[in-house]
Amino acid sequence: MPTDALRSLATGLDPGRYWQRGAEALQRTPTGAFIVRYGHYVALPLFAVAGGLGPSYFGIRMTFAILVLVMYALLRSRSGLFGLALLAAMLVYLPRQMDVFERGIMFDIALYALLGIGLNVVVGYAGLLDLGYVAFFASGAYLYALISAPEAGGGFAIGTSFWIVLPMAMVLAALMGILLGLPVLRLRGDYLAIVTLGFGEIIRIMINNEDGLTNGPIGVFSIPKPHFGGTELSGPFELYFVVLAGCFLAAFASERIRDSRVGRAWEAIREDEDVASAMGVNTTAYKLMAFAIGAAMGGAGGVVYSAKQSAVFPSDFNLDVSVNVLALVIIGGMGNVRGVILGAMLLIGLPEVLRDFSIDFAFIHLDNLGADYRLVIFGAALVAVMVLRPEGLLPSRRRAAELERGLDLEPTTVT
Amino acid sequence: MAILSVRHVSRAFEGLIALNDVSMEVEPETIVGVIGPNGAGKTTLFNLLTGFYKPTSGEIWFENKRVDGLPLHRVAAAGISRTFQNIRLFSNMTAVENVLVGGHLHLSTNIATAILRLPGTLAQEKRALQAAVDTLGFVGLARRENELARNLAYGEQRRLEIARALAVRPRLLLLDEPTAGMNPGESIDMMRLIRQLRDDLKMTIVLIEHQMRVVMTVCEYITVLDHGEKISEGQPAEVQRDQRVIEAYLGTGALLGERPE
Repeated sequence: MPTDALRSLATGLDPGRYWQRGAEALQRTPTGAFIVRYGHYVALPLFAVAGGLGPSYFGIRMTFAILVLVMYALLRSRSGLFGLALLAAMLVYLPRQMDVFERGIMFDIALYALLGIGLNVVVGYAGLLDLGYVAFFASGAYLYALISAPEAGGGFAIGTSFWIVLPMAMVLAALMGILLGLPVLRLRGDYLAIVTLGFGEIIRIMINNEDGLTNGPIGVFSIPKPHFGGTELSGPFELYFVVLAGCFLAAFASERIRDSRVGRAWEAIREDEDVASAMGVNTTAYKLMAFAIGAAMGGAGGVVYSAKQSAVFPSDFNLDVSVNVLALVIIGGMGNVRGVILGAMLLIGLPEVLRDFSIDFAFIHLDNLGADYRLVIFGAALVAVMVLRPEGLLPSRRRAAELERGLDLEPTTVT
Repeated sequence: MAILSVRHVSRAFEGLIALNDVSMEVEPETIVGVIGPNGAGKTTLFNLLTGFYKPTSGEIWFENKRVDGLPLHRVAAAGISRTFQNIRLFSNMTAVENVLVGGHLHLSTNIATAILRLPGTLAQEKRALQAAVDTLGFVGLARRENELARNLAYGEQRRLEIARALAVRPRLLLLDEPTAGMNPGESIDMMRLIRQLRDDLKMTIVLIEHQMRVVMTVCEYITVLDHGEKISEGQPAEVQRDQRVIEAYLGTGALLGERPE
């Protein structure tokens, strides 16, 4: 089942049916039911407090803790505009209090949120498991690098403005999305995942080998920063706002598309492709549309990444990117843009926050616990999320319903 | 003039001949039954009519257009819609969303208009929603609009399938065992609904059915299939007396009256 495959990818383990059985058994006990139902309310503040004990990086830690809590509490209760406005204000205000390192992390969170929103269109809405998403990210990054950097190897460095390359990159990525979509139209589930994975690798290897065009493994340097109204957006702090704006636009667009005829067609395809087609949905066109829209968002992310880094290398675009983006979509809650944003905060932010995680209580002094074992703790946290909330932290209503059916032992149809 | 014309259609699956040289004509605004023992090729015929399969040979014409070999969504656009024997709803979508997907062809929203959400788009969406609610009311699912399809009772799911098929606004509706698994009371309601579809919506209906009582009361014309071949057709009374039909169902000498297995 693709869902299991997704979950195992997200955790790096294969939870399989034993995990599920374990979770079910846990839920049957009163304590277990309580933990499953309310555990996340307890776990998140604990993380926040524990994170606050360390000596350094005060800004990112507290910001992160507050952001996650506000995001989680407000958006989970669907409190609407007020919550969103508060969140937006904090996303704008808090990074001002941070140092360069912390701002870099905020940039990464926002960038991955943008990528996640894009991938969510493909995986969450249309149900097409895409493991080659990094290809679109890479195409955007390299397009901007090759066109704008004076030292680019391709010989067509024309010094075009960031703001012109941005839509160009989105169009290019969308075309690549269609290019990827065409041969995989007939594939479903696991087979689709394998072919898209190959596609992502092909693009990376191509960038690596086409020295004449891309400078190969040496990479492209001196990529210029974008300008906005005469000011150079030079650091991660300024570019963070560019990505943040991109996130909000992408979130806005994808939620509106989801609530339209197009989104319904995607859902129908995910539920039963043949029947959707029999109801008049041109499944070919709609699948390609999902690939194209998701890819365009990835391409836009690539352009900003390229501008922020000032240099791009083929090794920036390996499978890890695709897997991380997919994992944050799953952890956050597939099909729900807000869940995806929360997923990006956790998946990208948590490993950084954990750097300072330490325990100094009574006779226990583990000063470097986070520094030494942060990825272990991080992995355990991801596994815990998937066991306790397999549908993700903020799932779409439908996604939650699907997983509920998975645990349902009653037959759903009578024949 | 027949609205649907099936001409010498055959379909083989790697040597297994599921349908062999079947021809039938369906007049507009009639209710036609397709009957036959299990494995006779009834559902194969439906799958050919709606584009799920392509005929190995032969032609299918609908309203003077050739529809065999067309992709599924083009067949739907031509005006043919269907329900499924094993209910195939979009089970994690609500009842009204299922019907809205059925109305897909009659909306024009694309990505750009979806994002901009212009007043025209909103108005169209609102009309579609009202139409979907009305359709649900018509099949007897009023006030069940926001229920997830899989949470509906079995009979309700069958009705929802019909509502979704109706939202395509077909001229030809194909019902694959609409009363399967229903108790007698539910079957009578379903028969009433099928008649209504024809009388009120001027629809042509072809249905596959196993319950002879339903077939004999609701259908005006019957085609009988056995082992992939058409063995008889005509008015219900004629078919009931046809020696070949009786043999196909129950062996020689038996009477046709109860539900065969």
